[in-house]
Amino acid sequence: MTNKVIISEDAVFTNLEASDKEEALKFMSQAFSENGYVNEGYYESILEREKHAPTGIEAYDFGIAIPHTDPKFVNNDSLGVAVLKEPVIFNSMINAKETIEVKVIFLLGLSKSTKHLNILRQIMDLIKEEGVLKKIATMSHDKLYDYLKNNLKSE
Amino acid sequence: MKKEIIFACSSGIATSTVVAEKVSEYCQENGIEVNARQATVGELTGLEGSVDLFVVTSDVGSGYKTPVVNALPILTGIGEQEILEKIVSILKEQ
Repeated sequence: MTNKVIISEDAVFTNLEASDKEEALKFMSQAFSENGYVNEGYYESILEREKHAPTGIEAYDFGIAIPHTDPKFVNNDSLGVAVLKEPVIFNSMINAKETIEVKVIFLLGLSKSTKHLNILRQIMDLIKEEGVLKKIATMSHDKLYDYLKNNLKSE
Repeated sequence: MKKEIIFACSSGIATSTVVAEKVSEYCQENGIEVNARQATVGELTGLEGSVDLFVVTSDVGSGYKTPVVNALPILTGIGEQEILEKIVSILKEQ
């Protein structure tokens, strides 16, 4: 395993069909675990975390979510991105009673290193620009993967 | 002027770090030196009254003795400037 944050091609989804957040996160977590970036229990722990500390955020253009969990489930810093065909419901990070229709999920595999802060900062900087999420939502898989690679420094 | 701020999120390490950097930098530009500490949301009750401000990115409820600012706009960019100004004005009024 390297020290880089891995943006794995198979953890990038476009037009992902999922009926709810559980299903969407399952797809994304599977991509992580098949590559060995996360341990057993990562998916369950992500869902558990969403219950107590939801990560839905109303951003420009769309609602997004940035699920993440305890570093003990993570072997290697990794980032998964899913653009959903139809939004799924997350609860709001700042008001857990509120729901947010989430169109883009940024799933963070955060290990103990401090690199995840760097990637989180970059994601936040990216989506702060109005229109970026809209642009991301229309990209093809390959284009989105290239875009992420080019715009997020993995170190 | 030196102020103590607790930055809190559910993990105490992820979003609060991103926000802490931005807020500390902005405060410094406005003549306020910030002693930034991070905490999880659950730790806030034990810290209230002992610092100047809580800056949070999670649902923390209400009723704290310490002023609380919701820093989500600093993550999304929507209303970011207003929140930064609000933080500075709260700290300067104290």
